[in-house]
Amino acid sequence: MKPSRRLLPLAVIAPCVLALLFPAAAEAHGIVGRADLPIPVWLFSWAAAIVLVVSFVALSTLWTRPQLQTEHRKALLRIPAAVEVLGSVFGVAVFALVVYSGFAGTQVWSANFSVTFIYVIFWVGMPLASVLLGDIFAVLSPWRSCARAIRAAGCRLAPKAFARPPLRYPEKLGQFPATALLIGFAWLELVYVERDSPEILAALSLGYFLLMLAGMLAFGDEIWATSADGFGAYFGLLSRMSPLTVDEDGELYARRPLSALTSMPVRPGTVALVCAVIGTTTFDGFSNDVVWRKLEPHLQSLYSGISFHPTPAIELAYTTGLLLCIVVIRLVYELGIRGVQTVSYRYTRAELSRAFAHTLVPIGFAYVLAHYFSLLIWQGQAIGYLASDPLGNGANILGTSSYRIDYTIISFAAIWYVQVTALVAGHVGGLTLAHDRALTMYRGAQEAVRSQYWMLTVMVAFTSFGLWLLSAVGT
Amino acid sequence: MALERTRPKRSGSSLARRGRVALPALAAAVVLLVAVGSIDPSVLSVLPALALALLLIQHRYPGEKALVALSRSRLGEPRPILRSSGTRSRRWVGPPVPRGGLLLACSLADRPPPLLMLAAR
Repeated sequence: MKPSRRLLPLAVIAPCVLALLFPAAAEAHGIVGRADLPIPVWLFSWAAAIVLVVSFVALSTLWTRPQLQTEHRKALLRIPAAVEVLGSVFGVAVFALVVYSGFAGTQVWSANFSVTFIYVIFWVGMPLASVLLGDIFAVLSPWRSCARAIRAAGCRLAPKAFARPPLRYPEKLGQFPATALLIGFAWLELVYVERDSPEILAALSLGYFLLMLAGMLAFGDEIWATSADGFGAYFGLLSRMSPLTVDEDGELYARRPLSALTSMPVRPGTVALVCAVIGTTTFDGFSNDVVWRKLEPHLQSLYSGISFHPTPAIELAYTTGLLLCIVVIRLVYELGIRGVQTVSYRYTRAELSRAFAHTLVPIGFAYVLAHYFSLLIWQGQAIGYLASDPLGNGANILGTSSYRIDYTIISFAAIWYVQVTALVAGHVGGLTLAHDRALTMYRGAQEAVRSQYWMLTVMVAFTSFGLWLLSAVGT
Repeated sequence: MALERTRPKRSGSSLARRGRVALPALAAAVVLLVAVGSIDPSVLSVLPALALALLLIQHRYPGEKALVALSRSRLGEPRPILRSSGTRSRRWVGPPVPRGGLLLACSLADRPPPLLMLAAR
Protein backbone atom coordinates (compact mmCIF):
# COMPACT_ATOMS: atom_id res chain seq x y z
CA MET A 1 0.00 0.00 0.00
CA LYS A 2 1.31 3.47 -0.84
CA PRO A 3 2.16 5.73 2.11
CA SER A 4 -0.51 8.32 1.32
CA ARG A 5 -3.16 5.61 1.17
CA ARG A 6 -2.05 4.33 4.52
CA LEU A 7 -2.11 7.73 6.14
CA LEU A 8 -5.24 9.21 4.57
CA PRO A 9 -7.65 7.28 6.81
CA LEU A 10 -5.50 8.36 9.75
CA ALA A 11 -5.85 11.98 8.69
CA VAL A 12 -9.60 11.57 8.56
CA ILE A 13 -10.09 9.57 11.77
CA ALA A 14 -7.53 11.26 14.00
CA PRO A 15 -9.31 14.63 14.25
CA CYS A 16 -12.55 12.86 15.23
CA VAL A 17 -10.72 11.05 18.01
CA LEU A 18 -9.13 14.32 19.08
CA ALA A 19 -12.52 16.04 19.26
CA LEU A 20 -13.81 13.25 21.46
CA LEU A 21 -10.75 13.48 23.69
CA PHE A 22 -10.93 17.26 23.97
CA PRO A 23 -14.61 18.13 23.62
CA ALA A 24 -14.30 21.40 25.54
CA ALA A 25 -11.77 22.75 23.09
CA ALA A 26 -13.95 21.75 20.18
CA GLU A 27 -17.10 23.23 21.62
CA ALA A 28 -15.49 26.42 22.81
CA HIS A 29 -15.46 27.78 19.30
CA GLY A 30 -18.24 28.99 17.10
CA ILE A 31 -21.95 29.19 17.47
CA VAL A 32 -22.02 26.00 19.52
CA GLY A 33 -21.99 27.65 22.89
CA ARG A 34 -24.87 29.91 21.95
CA ALA A 35 -26.98 27.31 20.19
CA ASP A 36 -26.13 24.30 22.35
CA LEU A 37 -25.45 22.12 19.35
CA PRO A 38 -24.58 18.51 20.13
CA ILE A 39 -21.48 18.39 17.90
CA PRO A 40 -18.69 20.85 17.13
CA VAL A 41 -18.94 23.08 14.09
CA TRP A 42 -16.18 21.39 12.17
CA LEU A 43 -18.14 18.15 12.20
CA PHE A 44 -20.94 20.00 10.43
CA SER A 45 -18.34 20.98 7.87
CA TRP A 46 -17.34 17.35 7.40
CA ALA A 47 -20.96 16.26 7.16
CA ALA A 48 -21.51 18.93 4.52
CA ALA A 49 -18.47 17.64 2.63
CA ILE A 50 -19.91 14.12 2.76
CA VAL A 51 -23.24 15.38 1.40
CA LEU A 52 -21.39 17.04 -1.45
CA VAL A 53 -19.37 13.92 -2.20
CA VAL A 54 -22.54 11.78 -2.20
CA SER A 55 -24.19 14.33 -4.52
CA PHE A 56 -21.16 14.20 -6.77
CA VAL A 57 -21.33 10.39 -6.97
CA ALA A 58 -25.08 10.47 -7.60
CA LEU A 59 -24.69 13.10 -10.31
CA SER A 60 -21.83 11.24 -12.00
CA THR A 61 -23.71 7.96 -12.14
CA LEU A 62 -27.38 8.95 -12.49
CA TRP A 63 -27.27 12.33 -14.27
CA THR A 64 -25.81 11.12 -17.54
CA ARG A 65 -27.44 13.56 -19.95
CA PRO A 66 -27.70 17.37 -19.73
CA GLN A 67 -31.00 18.36 -18.12
CA LEU A 68 -30.60 22.07 -17.46
CA GLN A 69 -29.43 23.40 -20.80
CA THR A 70 -33.00 24.30 -21.77
CA GLU A 71 -35.61 25.83 -19.49
CA HIS A 72 -38.56 23.53 -20.37
CA ARG A 73 -41.05 26.35 -19.91
CA LYS A 74 -44.70 25.74 -19.14
CA ALA A 75 -47.13 28.62 -19.53
CA LEU A 76 -49.11 29.31 -16.36
CA LEU A 77 -51.11 32.50 -16.84
CA ARG A 78 -51.04 35.94 -18.37
CA ILE A 79 -50.27 38.78 -15.99
CA PRO A 80 -52.34 41.91 -16.68
CA ALA A 81 -50.34 44.94 -17.80
CA ALA A 82 -51.81 46.89 -14.89
CA VAL A 83 -49.82 44.75 -12.44
CA GLU A 84 -46.57 45.96 -13.95
CA VAL A 85 -47.73 49.58 -13.76
CA LEU A 86 -48.82 49.13 -10.14
CA GLY A 87 -45.49 47.48 -9.29
CA SER A 88 -43.58 50.40 -10.82
CA VAL A 89 -45.69 52.97 -8.94
CA PHE A 90 -45.21 51.03 -5.70
CA GLY A 91 -41.42 50.89 -6.23
CA VAL A 92 -41.21 54.65 -6.86
CA ALA A 93 -43.45 55.39 -3.85
CA VAL A 94 -41.34 53.27 -1.48
CA PHE A 95 -38.17 54.89 -2.80
CA ALA A 96 -39.67 58.34 -2.20
CA LEU A 97 -40.56 57.28 1.35
CA VAL A 98 -37.00 56.03 1.97
CA VAL A 99 -35.50 59.33 0.83
CA TYR A 100 -38.07 61.44 2.65
CA SER A 101 -37.80 59.53 5.94
CA GLY A 102 -34.00 59.67 5.71
CA PHE A 103 -33.97 63.46 5.40
CA ALA A 104 -37.00 64.42 7.47
CA GLY A 105 -37.13 61.67 10.08
CA THR A 106 -35.31 61.07 13.30
CA GLN A 107 -31.60 60.35 12.95
CA VAL A 108 -31.82 57.39 15.33
CA TRP A 109 -31.25 54.49 12.96
CA SER A 110 -33.51 51.99 14.72
CA ALA A 111 -36.48 54.38 14.65
CA ASN A 112 -36.06 55.48 11.03
CA PHE A 113 -37.70 53.59 8.17
CA SER A 114 -34.90 54.16 5.66
CA VAL A 115 -32.09 52.27 7.43
CA THR A 116 -34.01 49.07 8.11
CA PHE A 117 -35.59 49.15 4.69
CA ILE A 118 -32.28 49.55 2.82
CA TYR A 119 -30.18 47.10 4.82
CA VAL A 120 -32.78 44.43 5.57
CA ILE A 121 -35.77 44.49 3.23
CA PHE A 122 -33.93 45.67 0.12
CA TRP A 123 -30.46 44.16 0.57
CA VAL A 124 -31.53 40.80 2.04
CA GLY A 125 -35.22 40.42 1.22
CA MET A 126 -34.94 41.31 -2.46
CA PRO A 127 -32.43 38.53 -3.29
CA LEU A 128 -34.74 36.00 -1.64
CA ALA A 129 -37.76 37.39 -3.49
CA SER A 130 -35.82 37.30 -6.78
CA VAL A 131 -34.96 33.64 -6.32
CA LEU A 132 -38.52 32.72 -5.40
CA LEU A 133 -40.49 34.91 -7.81
CA GLY A 134 -38.11 35.82 -10.65
CA ASP A 135 -36.85 39.21 -11.75
CA ILE A 136 -39.33 41.36 -9.84
CA PHE A 137 -36.76 44.10 -9.36
CA ALA A 138 -37.01 44.86 -13.06
CA VAL A 139 -40.59 45.97 -12.32
CA LEU A 140 -40.04 47.52 -8.88
CA SER A 141 -36.80 49.39 -9.71
CA PRO A 142 -37.64 53.08 -9.21
CA TRP A 143 -34.92 54.39 -11.53
CA ARG A 144 -35.91 51.97 -14.27
CA SER A 145 -39.59 52.87 -13.92
CA CYS A 146 -38.79 56.57 -14.09
CA ALA A 147 -36.51 56.08 -17.10
CA ARG A 148 -39.28 54.17 -18.89
CA ALA A 149 -41.84 56.84 -18.04
CA ILE A 150 -39.56 59.62 -19.28
CA ARG A 151 -38.82 57.70 -22.46
CA ALA A 152 -42.52 57.01 -23.06
CA ALA A 153 -43.36 60.67 -22.55
CA GLY A 154 -40.43 61.72 -24.73
CA CYS A 155 -41.50 59.41 -27.53
CA ARG A 156 -44.86 61.17 -27.65
CA LEU A 157 -43.42 64.67 -27.60
CA ALA A 158 -40.32 64.15 -29.75
CA PRO A 159 -40.43 60.68 -31.36
CA LYS A 160 -37.22 61.10 -33.33
CA ALA A 161 -35.13 62.22 -30.37
CA PHE A 162 -36.29 59.37 -28.12
CA ALA A 163 -36.48 56.62 -30.73
CA ARG A 164 -33.15 55.19 -29.64
CA PRO A 165 -30.65 55.96 -26.86
CA PRO A 166 -28.18 58.69 -27.83
CA LEU A 167 -25.10 56.71 -26.73
CA ARG A 168 -23.93 53.15 -27.18
CA TYR A 169 -22.79 51.26 -24.09
CA PRO A 170 -19.13 50.22 -24.43
CA GLU A 171 -19.14 46.41 -24.48
CA LYS A 172 -15.62 46.28 -23.08
CA LEU A 173 -16.89 47.60 -19.77
CA GLY A 174 -19.29 44.69 -19.49
CA GLN A 175 -20.55 44.29 -15.92
CA PHE A 176 -17.57 45.95 -14.26
CA PRO A 177 -19.52 49.14 -13.41
CA ALA A 178 -22.21 47.03 -11.70
CA THR A 179 -19.51 45.12 -9.82
CA ALA A 180 -17.89 48.35 -8.66
CA LEU A 181 -21.22 49.76 -7.45
CA LEU A 182 -22.11 46.55 -5.65
CA ILE A 183 -18.74 46.55 -3.88
CA GLY A 184 -19.38 50.21 -3.12
CA PHE A 185 -22.67 49.34 -1.41
CA ALA A 186 -20.98 46.53 0.55
CA TRP A 187 -18.30 49.04 1.57
CA LEU A 188 -21.02 51.39 2.78
CA GLU A 189 -22.64 48.62 4.82
CA LEU A 190 -19.52 46.99 6.24
CA VAL A 191 -16.81 49.62 6.33
CA TYR A 192 -18.12 53.17 6.33
CA VAL A 193 -18.31 54.57 9.85
CA GLU A 194 -21.45 56.64 9.20
CA ARG A 195 -23.35 53.74 7.63
CA ASP A 196 -26.29 54.05 10.03
CA SER A 197 -26.97 57.71 9.38
CA PRO A 198 -30.43 58.01 7.74
CA GLU A 199 -29.55 61.35 6.21
CA ILE A 200 -26.42 60.04 4.52
CA LEU A 201 -28.27 56.96 3.28
CA ALA A 202 -31.02 59.14 1.84
CA ALA A 203 -28.49 61.38 0.10
CA LEU A 204 -26.63 58.40 -1.35
CA SER A 205 -29.92 56.81 -2.48
CA LEU A 206 -30.86 59.98 -4.28
CA GLY A 207 -27.43 60.21 -5.88
CA TYR A 208 -27.64 56.60 -7.03
CA PHE A 209 -31.12 57.20 -8.42
CA LEU A 210 -29.96 60.19 -10.48
CA LEU A 211 -26.88 58.33 -11.74
CA MET A 212 -28.96 55.36 -12.83
CA LEU A 213 -31.61 57.54 -14.42
CA ALA A 214 -28.99 59.46 -16.42
CA GLY A 215 -27.29 56.23 -17.52
CA MET A 216 -30.56 54.61 -18.59
CA LEU A 217 -31.60 57.63 -20.60
CA ALA A 218 -28.19 57.87 -22.22
CA PHE A 219 -27.50 54.20 -22.98
CA GLY A 220 -30.89 52.47 -22.77
CA ASP A 221 -32.56 51.07 -19.68
CA GLU A 222 -32.09 47.37 -20.45
CA ILE A 223 -28.33 47.44 -21.14
CA TRP A 224 -27.70 49.88 -18.28
CA ALA A 225 -29.79 47.85 -15.80
CA THR A 226 -27.88 44.66 -16.53
CA SER A 227 -24.43 46.21 -16.88
CA ALA A 228 -24.06 49.28 -14.70
CA ASP A 229 -26.86 49.09 -12.13
CA GLY A 230 -25.26 47.12 -9.32
CA PHE A 231 -28.58 46.02 -7.85
CA GLY A 232 -30.24 45.36 -11.20
CA ALA A 233 -27.36 43.13 -12.30
CA TYR A 234 -27.19 41.34 -8.94
CA PHE A 235 -30.91 40.67 -8.56
CA GLY A 236 -31.16 39.79 -12.25
CA LEU A 237 -28.45 37.19 -11.80
CA LEU A 238 -30.21 35.62 -8.81
CA SER A 239 -33.58 35.66 -10.56
CA ARG A 240 -32.16 33.13 -13.03
CA MET A 241 -32.34 30.56 -10.24
CA SER A 242 -36.08 31.07 -9.98
CA PRO A 243 -38.63 28.51 -11.19
CA LEU A 244 -40.76 31.39 -12.49
CA THR A 245 -40.26 33.82 -15.34
CA VAL A 246 -42.31 36.33 -17.29
CA ASP A 247 -41.77 37.01 -20.98
CA GLU A 248 -42.14 40.35 -22.77
CA ASP A 249 -45.83 39.73 -23.42
CA GLY A 250 -46.58 39.29 -19.73
CA GLU A 251 -46.98 35.51 -19.89
CA LEU A 252 -45.93 33.80 -16.65
CA TYR A 253 -44.02 30.54 -17.11
CA ALA A 254 -42.81 27.81 -14.80
CA ARG A 255 -39.38 26.44 -15.64
CA ARG A 256 -36.82 24.10 -14.18
CA PRO A 257 -35.11 25.79 -11.24
CA LEU A 258 -31.54 26.88 -12.05
CA SER A 259 -32.06 26.15 -15.76
CA ALA A 260 -31.97 29.82 -16.77
CA LEU A 261 -28.46 30.10 -15.32
CA THR A 262 -27.06 27.94 -18.11
CA SER A 263 -28.05 30.58 -20.66
CA MET A 264 -26.65 33.39 -18.51
CA PRO A 265 -24.62 35.74 -20.71
CA VAL A 266 -21.08 35.81 -19.34
CA ARG A 267 -19.63 39.18 -20.23
CA PRO A 268 -16.53 41.00 -19.03
CA GLY A 269 -17.00 41.49 -15.30
CA THR A 270 -19.59 38.75 -14.76
CA VAL A 271 -17.21 36.46 -12.87
CA ALA A 272 -16.04 39.46 -10.85
CA LEU A 273 -19.66 40.32 -10.02
CA VAL A 274 -20.41 36.85 -8.68
CA CYS A 275 -17.11 36.75 -6.76
CA ALA A 276 -17.95 40.17 -5.32
CA VAL A 277 -21.29 38.85 -4.04
CA ILE A 278 -19.58 35.93 -2.31
CA GLY A 279 -16.55 37.93 -1.22
CA THR A 280 -18.46 40.78 0.41
CA THR A 281 -20.63 38.35 2.37
CA THR A 282 -17.49 36.48 3.32
CA PHE A 283 -15.97 39.63 4.72
CA ASP A 284 -19.09 40.32 6.75
CA GLY A 285 -18.51 37.01 8.53
CA PHE A 286 -14.74 37.26 8.57
CA SER A 287 -14.82 40.70 10.23
CA ASN A 288 -16.37 39.00 13.28
CA ASP A 289 -13.69 36.34 13.46
CA VAL A 290 -10.80 36.16 15.88
CA VAL A 291 -8.29 36.12 13.00
CA TRP A 292 -9.54 39.47 11.75
CA ARG A 293 -9.68 40.93 15.25
CA LYS A 294 -6.00 40.14 15.63
CA LEU A 295 -5.06 41.33 12.16
CA GLU A 296 -7.12 44.52 12.01
CA PRO A 297 -5.16 46.56 14.64
CA HIS A 298 -1.93 45.88 12.74
CA LEU A 299 -3.45 47.11 9.50
CA GLN A 300 -4.92 50.10 11.29
CA SER A 301 -1.56 51.06 12.80
CA LEU A 302 0.03 50.61 9.38
CA TYR A 303 -2.32 53.20 7.91
CA SER A 304 -2.01 55.43 10.97
CA GLY A 305 1.75 55.29 10.45
CA ILE A 306 1.38 56.90 7.05
CA SER A 307 -0.36 59.91 8.62
CA PHE A 308 -4.00 58.82 8.37
CA HIS A 309 -6.38 59.91 11.10
CA PRO A 310 -7.90 57.11 13.24
CA THR A 311 -11.25 56.96 11.43
CA PRO A 312 -9.87 56.79 7.87
CA ALA A 313 -7.25 54.33 9.14
CA ILE A 314 -10.01 52.00 10.42
CA GLU A 315 -11.92 52.38 7.17
CA LEU A 316 -8.81 51.66 5.11
CA ALA A 317 -8.05 48.57 7.19
CA TYR A 318 -11.58 47.29 6.66
CA THR A 319 -11.48 48.19 2.96
CA THR A 320 -8.30 46.14 2.62
CA GLY A 321 -10.02 43.20 4.30
CA LEU A 322 -13.08 43.53 2.08
CA LEU A 323 -11.04 43.60 -1.12
CA LEU A 324 -8.84 40.74 0.07
CA CYS A 325 -11.89 38.54 0.66
CA ILE A 326 -13.10 39.17 -2.89
CA VAL A 327 -9.63 38.39 -4.25
CA VAL A 328 -9.44 35.17 -2.20
CA ILE A 329 -12.81 33.98 -3.56
CA ARG A 330 -11.66 34.78 -7.10
CA LEU A 331 -8.41 32.88 -6.51
CA VAL A 332 -10.20 29.78 -5.17
CA TYR A 333 -12.38 29.75 -8.28
CA GLU A 334 -9.35 30.31 -10.49
CA LEU A 335 -7.53 27.41 -8.85
CA GLY A 336 -10.54 25.17 -9.49
CA ILE A 337 -10.60 26.24 -13.14
CA ARG A 338 -6.87 25.57 -13.49
CA GLY A 339 -7.52 22.12 -12.10
CA VAL A 340 -10.35 21.53 -14.58
CA GLN A 341 -8.01 22.54 -17.37
CA THR A 342 -5.53 19.81 -16.47
CA VAL A 343 -8.20 17.25 -17.41
CA SER A 344 -8.25 18.36 -21.03
CA TYR A 345 -6.41 21.19 -22.73
CA ARG A 346 -9.14 21.52 -25.35
CA TYR A 347 -10.39 24.67 -23.64
CA THR A 348 -8.47 27.71 -22.53
CA ARG A 349 -8.62 28.91 -18.95
CA ALA A 350 -10.66 31.95 -19.94
CA GLU A 351 -13.17 29.73 -21.76
CA LEU A 352 -13.50 27.44 -18.77
CA SER A 353 -13.82 30.36 -16.39
CA ARG A 354 -16.73 31.70 -18.44
CA ALA A 355 -18.28 28.27 -18.93
CA PHE A 356 -18.49 27.53 -15.21
CA ALA A 357 -19.16 31.07 -13.95
CA HIS A 358 -22.89 30.41 -13.55
CA THR A 359 -22.15 27.65 -11.00
CA LEU A 360 -21.11 30.35 -8.52
CA VAL A 361 -24.52 32.03 -8.51
CA PRO A 362 -26.29 29.50 -6.22
CA ILE A 363 -23.25 29.67 -3.93
CA GLY A 364 -23.53 33.44 -3.79
CA PHE A 365 -27.19 33.17 -2.87
CA ALA A 366 -26.46 30.46 -0.30
CA TYR A 367 -23.85 32.69 1.34
CA VAL A 368 -26.24 35.64 1.42
CA LEU A 369 -29.17 33.63 2.77
CA ALA A 370 -27.11 31.77 5.35
CA HIS A 371 -25.38 34.87 6.55
CA TYR A 372 -28.33 37.26 6.68
CA PHE A 373 -31.13 34.88 7.53
CA SER A 374 -31.29 35.85 11.20
CA LEU A 375 -31.18 39.54 10.27
CA LEU A 376 -34.11 39.08 7.92
CA ILE A 377 -36.13 37.05 10.41
CA TRP A 378 -35.59 39.35 13.36
CA GLN A 379 -34.82 42.85 12.13
CA GLY A 380 -37.19 42.33 9.20
CA GLN A 381 -40.09 42.38 11.66
CA ALA A 382 -39.22 45.97 12.53
CA ILE A 383 -40.63 47.09 9.20
CA GLY A 384 -44.06 46.33 10.69
CA TYR A 385 -43.92 49.29 13.06
CA LEU A 386 -41.54 51.42 10.98
CA ALA A 387 -44.01 51.45 8.09
CA SER A 388 -46.53 52.93 10.47
CA ASP A 389 -44.09 55.45 11.87
CA PRO A 390 -41.45 56.00 9.14
CA LEU A 391 -40.10 59.24 10.54
CA GLY A 392 -39.89 57.99 14.10
CA ASN A 393 -41.97 60.87 15.43
CA GLY A 394 -44.69 58.80 17.11
CA ALA A 395 -47.11 58.57 14.17
CA ASN A 396 -49.38 55.55 13.74
CA ILE A 397 -50.42 55.65 10.09
CA LEU A 398 -51.21 51.96 9.63
CA GLY A 399 -52.08 51.22 13.25
CA THR A 400 -49.08 48.93 13.73
CA SER A 401 -46.70 51.25 15.57
CA SER A 402 -47.12 49.25 18.77
CA TYR A 403 -45.84 46.10 17.06
CA ARG A 404 -42.52 44.84 18.45
CA ILE A 405 -39.88 42.34 17.29
CA ASP A 406 -40.57 38.81 18.52
CA TYR A 407 -37.16 37.27 19.13
CA THR A 408 -38.71 33.94 20.11
CA ILE A 409 -40.11 33.43 16.61
CA ILE A 410 -37.19 31.10 15.87
CA SER A 411 -34.50 29.55 18.06
CA PHE A 412 -30.76 29.99 17.59
CA ALA A 413 -30.38 26.29 16.85
CA ALA A 414 -33.10 26.45 14.17
CA ILE A 415 -31.33 29.41 12.56
CA TRP A 416 -28.10 27.47 12.53
CA TYR A 417 -29.77 24.49 10.83
CA VAL A 418 -31.37 26.76 8.24
CA GLN A 419 -27.97 28.30 7.56
CA VAL A 420 -26.27 24.93 7.16
CA THR A 421 -29.07 23.64 4.93
CA ALA A 422 -28.94 26.78 2.77
CA LEU A 423 -25.18 26.51 2.38
CA VAL A 424 -25.21 22.83 1.50
CA ALA A 425 -28.18 23.17 -0.86
CA GLY A 426 -26.53 26.10 -2.62
CA HIS A 427 -23.34 24.18 -3.16
CA VAL A 428 -25.18 21.07 -4.35
CA GLY A 429 -26.94 23.38 -6.81
CA GLY A 430 -23.58 24.69 -7.98
CA LEU A 431 -22.23 21.19 -8.34
CA THR A 432 -25.29 20.14 -10.33
CA LEU A 433 -24.87 23.05 -12.71
CA ALA A 434 -21.17 22.31 -13.12
CA HIS A 435 -21.89 18.64 -13.83
CA ASP A 436 -24.58 19.52 -16.36
CA ARG A 437 -22.23 21.90 -18.13
CA ALA A 438 -19.40 19.34 -18.13
CA LEU A 439 -21.66 16.84 -19.90
CA THR A 440 -22.10 19.29 -22.76
CA MET A 441 -18.43 20.24 -22.94
CA TYR A 442 -16.57 16.97 -22.71
CA ARG A 443 -16.85 14.08 -25.13
CA GLY A 444 -16.19 11.18 -22.83
CA ALA A 445 -17.57 10.27 -19.44
CA GLN A 446 -14.04 10.09 -18.02
CA GLU A 447 -13.17 13.70 -18.87
CA ALA A 448 -16.51 14.95 -17.57
CA VAL A 449 -16.14 13.07 -14.30
CA ARG A 450 -12.54 14.16 -13.82
CA SER A 451 -13.38 17.81 -14.41
CA GLN A 452 -16.04 17.55 -11.74
CA TYR A 453 -13.60 16.31 -9.14
CA TRP A 454 -12.09 19.78 -9.30
CA MET A 455 -15.43 21.52 -9.07
CA LEU A 456 -16.28 19.28 -6.11
CA THR A 457 -13.13 20.49 -4.37
CA VAL A 458 -14.10 24.10 -5.01
CA MET A 459 -17.58 23.47 -3.61
CA VAL A 460 -16.28 21.64 -0.53
CA ALA A 461 -13.82 24.49 0.08
CA PHE A 462 -16.54 27.14 -0.22
CA THR A 463 -18.89 25.16 2.05
CA SER A 464 -16.26 24.64 4.76
CA PHE A 465 -15.24 28.26 4.54
CA GLY A 466 -18.87 29.41 4.73
CA LEU A 467 -19.58 27.30 7.79
CA TRP A 468 -16.44 28.49 9.48
CA LEU A 469 -17.46 32.10 8.85
CA LEU A 470 -20.98 31.49 10.12
CA SER A 471 -19.60 29.95 13.27
CA ALA A 472 -17.34 32.98 13.67
CA VAL A 473 -20.37 35.28 13.75
CA GLY A 474 -21.55 33.53 16.88
CA THR A 475 -18.35 34.08 18.80
CA MET B 1 33.11 24.78 -27.21
CA ALA B 2 31.76 24.62 -23.71
CA LEU B 3 29.43 21.82 -22.92
CA GLU B 4 26.04 23.01 -21.74
CA ARG B 5 24.76 21.27 -18.68
CA THR B 6 21.04 20.86 -19.02
CA ARG B 7 18.77 20.36 -16.08
CA PRO B 8 16.56 17.31 -16.47
CA LYS B 9 12.88 18.14 -16.85
CA ARG B 10 10.63 17.35 -13.96
CA SER B 11 8.52 14.42 -14.88
CA GLY B 12 4.91 14.00 -13.78
CA SER B 13 5.86 10.97 -11.74
CA SER B 14 8.38 12.93 -9.66
CA LEU B 15 5.70 15.55 -8.96
CA ALA B 16 3.31 12.79 -8.01
CA ARG B 17 5.92 11.29 -5.71
CA ARG B 18 6.36 14.65 -4.04
CA GLY B 19 2.61 14.94 -3.66
CA ARG B 20 2.43 11.50 -2.12
CA VAL B 21 4.77 12.69 0.58
CA ALA B 22 3.06 16.06 0.97
CA LEU B 23 -0.41 14.72 1.75
CA PRO B 24 0.46 12.53 4.73
CA ALA B 25 2.93 15.13 5.97
CA LEU B 26 0.34 17.87 5.91
CA ALA B 27 -2.34 15.69 7.50
CA ALA B 28 0.08 14.65 10.23
CA ALA B 29 1.10 18.28 10.80
CA VAL B 30 -2.52 19.42 11.18
CA VAL B 31 -3.33 16.55 13.54
CA LEU B 32 -0.22 17.28 15.60
CA LEU B 33 -0.91 21.00 15.81
CA VAL B 34 -4.50 20.40 16.88
CA ALA B 35 -3.34 17.85 19.45
CA VAL B 36 -0.86 20.20 21.07
CA GLY B 37 -3.37 23.04 20.96
CA SER B 38 -1.30 25.32 18.73
CA ILE B 39 -4.14 25.81 16.31
CA ASP B 40 -7.85 26.10 16.76
CA PRO B 41 -9.85 22.91 16.07
CA SER B 42 -11.97 24.94 13.65
CA VAL B 43 -9.09 24.49 11.21
CA LEU B 44 -10.33 20.93 10.93
CA SER B 45 -13.24 22.35 8.94
CA VAL B 46 -11.03 22.88 5.92
CA LEU B 47 -9.41 19.46 6.08
CA PRO B 48 -11.83 17.72 3.62
CA ALA B 49 -11.21 20.35 0.95
CA LEU B 50 -7.50 20.22 1.59
CA ALA B 51 -7.36 16.43 1.34
CA LEU B 52 -9.33 16.48 -1.91
CA ALA B 53 -7.15 19.19 -3.40
CA LEU B 54 -3.96 17.35 -2.51
CA LEU B 55 -5.22 14.14 -4.09
CA LEU B 56 -6.14 15.93 -7.29
CA ILE B 57 -2.82 17.75 -7.46
CA GLN B 58 -1.24 14.30 -7.58
CA HIS B 59 -3.56 13.49 -10.53
CA ARG B 60 -5.32 10.89 -8.43
CA TYR B 61 -9.06 10.64 -8.80
CA PRO B 62 -10.33 8.21 -6.15
CA GLY B 63 -13.21 6.04 -7.37
CA GLU B 64 -12.97 7.44 -10.87
CA LYS B 65 -13.03 4.08 -12.69
CA ALA B 66 -16.15 2.92 -10.90
CA LEU B 67 -17.92 6.23 -11.55
CA VAL B 68 -17.04 6.21 -15.24
CA ALA B 69 -18.11 2.58 -15.62
CA LEU B 70 -21.44 3.26 -13.91
CA SER B 71 -21.95 6.37 -15.98
CA ARG B 72 -21.24 4.44 -19.20
CA SER B 73 -23.58 1.62 -18.26
CA ARG B 74 -26.36 4.16 -17.61
CA LEU B 75 -25.67 5.80 -20.94
CA GLY B 76 -25.59 2.49 -22.75
CA GLU B 77 -22.17 3.31 -24.15
CA PRO B 78 -20.11 0.29 -25.19
CA ARG B 79 -17.37 -0.44 -22.73
CA PRO B 80 -13.87 -0.19 -24.12
CA ILE B 81 -12.52 -3.64 -24.97
CA LEU B 82 -9.95 -4.51 -22.38
CA ARG B 83 -7.03 -6.40 -23.84
CA SER B 84 -4.24 -7.89 -21.91
CA SER B 85 -1.05 -9.19 -23.46
CA GLY B 86 -1.60 -12.73 -22.18
CA THR B 87 -5.09 -13.38 -23.50
CA ARG B 88 -6.50 -13.38 -27.01
CA SER B 89 -9.54 -11.34 -27.79
CA ARG B 90 -12.55 -13.39 -28.81
CA ARG B 91 -13.80 -10.74 -31.19
CA TRP B 92 -12.02 -10.68 -34.51
CA VAL B 93 -11.56 -7.09 -35.65
CA GLY B 94 -9.72 -7.61 -38.97
CA PRO B 95 -11.17 -7.06 -42.49
CA PRO B 96 -14.14 -9.30 -43.49
CA VAL B 97 -13.42 -12.40 -45.54
CA PRO B 98 -15.85 -13.57 -48.20
CA ARG B 99 -17.20 -17.05 -47.57
CA GLY B 100 -19.16 -19.68 -49.47
CA GLY B 101 -20.52 -18.69 -52.88
CA LEU B 102 -19.15 -15.18 -52.55
CA LEU B 103 -15.68 -16.60 -52.01
CA LEU B 104 -15.99 -18.65 -55.21
CA ALA B 105 -17.30 -15.67 -57.15
CA CYS B 106 -14.57 -13.40 -55.85
CA SER B 107 -11.85 -15.89 -56.70
CA LEU B 108 -13.19 -16.46 -60.22
CA ALA B 109 -13.75 -12.80 -60.99
CA ASP B 110 -11.14 -10.84 -62.95
CA ARG B 111 -11.69 -7.83 -60.74
CA PRO B 112 -13.25 -8.71 -57.36
CA PRO B 113 -15.17 -6.05 -55.36
CA PRO B 114 -13.22 -4.13 -52.71
CA LEU B 115 -13.28 -5.53 -49.18
CA LEU B 116 -15.14 -2.53 -47.77
CA MET B 117 -18.07 -3.19 -50.08
CA LEU B 118 -18.21 -6.73 -48.88
CA ALA B 119 -18.19 -5.56 -45.28
CA ALA B 120 -21.23 -3.39 -45.95
CA ARG B 121 -23.32 -6.38 -47.16
